[in-house]
Amino acid sequence: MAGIRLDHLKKSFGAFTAVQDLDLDVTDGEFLVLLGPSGCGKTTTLNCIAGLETPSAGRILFDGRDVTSDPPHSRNIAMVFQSALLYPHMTAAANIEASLRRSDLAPEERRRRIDDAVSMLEIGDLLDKLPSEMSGGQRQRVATAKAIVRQPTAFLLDEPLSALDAALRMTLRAEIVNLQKRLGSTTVFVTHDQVEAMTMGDRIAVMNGGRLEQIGTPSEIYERPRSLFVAGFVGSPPMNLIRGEVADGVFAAGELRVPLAAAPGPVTLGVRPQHLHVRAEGGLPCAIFALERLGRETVLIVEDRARNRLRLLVEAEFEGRVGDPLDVAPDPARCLLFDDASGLIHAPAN
Amino acid sequence: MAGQVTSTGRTSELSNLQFALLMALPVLLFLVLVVAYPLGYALWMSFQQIVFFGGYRTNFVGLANYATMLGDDKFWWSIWVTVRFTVESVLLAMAIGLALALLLNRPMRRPGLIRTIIMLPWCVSLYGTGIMFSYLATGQTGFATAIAFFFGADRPVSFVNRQWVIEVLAIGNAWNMAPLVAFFLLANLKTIPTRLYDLAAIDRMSPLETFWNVTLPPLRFTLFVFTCITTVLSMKLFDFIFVLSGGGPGTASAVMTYQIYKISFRDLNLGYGAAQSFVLLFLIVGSTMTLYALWGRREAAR
Ligand SMILES: Nc1ncnc2c1ncn2[C@@H]1O[C@H](COP(=O)(O)OP(=O)(O)OP(=O)(O)O)[C@@H](O)[C@H]1O
Ligand SMILES: [Mg+2]
Repeated sequence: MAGIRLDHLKKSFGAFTAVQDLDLDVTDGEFLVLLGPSGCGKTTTLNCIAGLETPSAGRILFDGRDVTSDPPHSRNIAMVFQSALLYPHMTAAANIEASLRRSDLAPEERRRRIDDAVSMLEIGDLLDKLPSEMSGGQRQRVATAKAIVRQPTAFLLDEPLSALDAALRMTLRAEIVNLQKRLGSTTVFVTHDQVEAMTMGDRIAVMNGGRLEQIGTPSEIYERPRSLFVAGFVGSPPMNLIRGEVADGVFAAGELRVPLAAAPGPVTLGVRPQHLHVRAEGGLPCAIFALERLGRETVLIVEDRARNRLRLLVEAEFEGRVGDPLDVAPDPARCLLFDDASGLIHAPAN
Repeated sequence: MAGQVTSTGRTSELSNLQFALLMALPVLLFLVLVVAYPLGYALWMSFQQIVFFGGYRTNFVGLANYATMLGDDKFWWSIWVTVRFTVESVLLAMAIGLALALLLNRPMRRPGLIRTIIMLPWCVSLYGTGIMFSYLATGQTGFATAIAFFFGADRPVSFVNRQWVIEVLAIGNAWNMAPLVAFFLLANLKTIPTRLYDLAAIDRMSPLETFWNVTLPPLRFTLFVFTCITTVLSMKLFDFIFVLSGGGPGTASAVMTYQIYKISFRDLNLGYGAAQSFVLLFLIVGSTMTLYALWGRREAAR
């Protein structure tokens, strides 16, 4: 096991820069999630750590040792590729065993690890099948099993749960975290699913356009997103972002007024759906646009007179019909303010 | 309901089998004409003694021609020469083809030009190949002689001798065949996702293991097909050997086709020649069937 440090990592493909000036410190035994939209450079970053891509600039250090120009096989990495890559002519069992070809584990220990992985990922009845005979989700589970039987310096998992059904995904989320904590193995887990990121990571690194937007614990990322991008990307349903202006200690946007102590100027107000409330009167006048009933609660989507949409969380029993008028108002103590240039400028003290 | 409709409609229609037969009729006729008739005629000849001198006549001799073979040393020798030539040709053609394919699959500056150059040997007729290799391998004009003289030797080096002539033939044959093998293998190589090599690197496979587990599997079916094709072509090869060595020196390169030619058209023993042709035919069919049973079935199952 080892800590991984990326030092000003840059990776270009021709004129296109996929990863730019990335500084990242994964401590020994940490579960770090790389979160970001499609094409933001997550896989490229992972491939650089594994040694499959050569960085255009910057360094990669394992436990302080520079491995930037080391070939993949000397880095002792276990990896799940994004496409659930397996050797096409080998059965699932042979694929999993191929991972242990170079290990010096005793035969009983190998057997035990393989059996554990097989039962954890519920792939017992797939072992004799070829990849071409499996579904995408089954391939992903076999690829994950193939990775976790190893005893590597670090696990690099590229969206290993993306093709699974909701129930299995939920089970495996917990299983993978549990296994990682038991083994204490440094893990970099890539996903574009923010729920996965929030539930699994010790820390989350949010990437956008090849750059690191913010790194922090899930609650830091959730409570104090450093930029508008992070604010909008993390959280489900997403945060409401309202453009407006601060003057005389009051945020104003259209008919909305929120008392907030901040420097005057154009800003964006961010408020999570659970901090936006329905008022009898005196709030922002809106009409119901849609109701999404989730069972435990209901997401209410409303539209103000300027046709801006806002989301708020209300109780499951909320009664209302599309078109009904109502007033909404944010909880001023839970509002964030963002500046276009410098990001977060005001957050509730906690 | 639907069943009734079709069954009543069928009275005026052809069944699938009838239709298929009707459609295949021209091809069947053609095959009978160009394959079955000569084959049948040759089979008939193999049971005859055919005499040209003193008036052409044929005597039915039953299996006598086949029986003669059993005690004919030249016949057994020709089988051995054929097998040796075929095995060497196949191994060389596959090895050279594979090497060329791997070479062509590397990034290079003028891929189109290099591919064209490598393809050229296949465009040379076997007759031409025979003449060229005969010049290259014999003492007076040979390649080896040139090299030997360069290093100060004063005697020509010839490979067209009892010991090496089969290898010279096999190399020439493989030289002609390998480019085609290479191109089909190259097409297979292009289908391998490069990420698979990354996976092998992550699994810390050695270059040999990577070749065995990543590169070779998608090539195996093509290798099987070309092993069969090269086997058949090598066993029935005649013109190339006729031009290069004429079955010699002595009988050193008297393959079955050459032996059959000599018996049929020099000794004019058509019946015996026909009988040997049938043995060759069975050898060819037998070896491809064996190849399929031992190897092809497994590949086709993938
Ligand atoms: N080999 C390559 N050549 C050129 N461009 C590439 C190459 N690999 C990746 N890119 C580009 O780099 C950017 C980042 O790619 P990357 O695969 O890292 O994205 P990602 O964050 O993993 O996205 P996803 O969530 O869709 O997998 C993309 O815009 C992609 O087009
Ligand atoms: Mg990716």
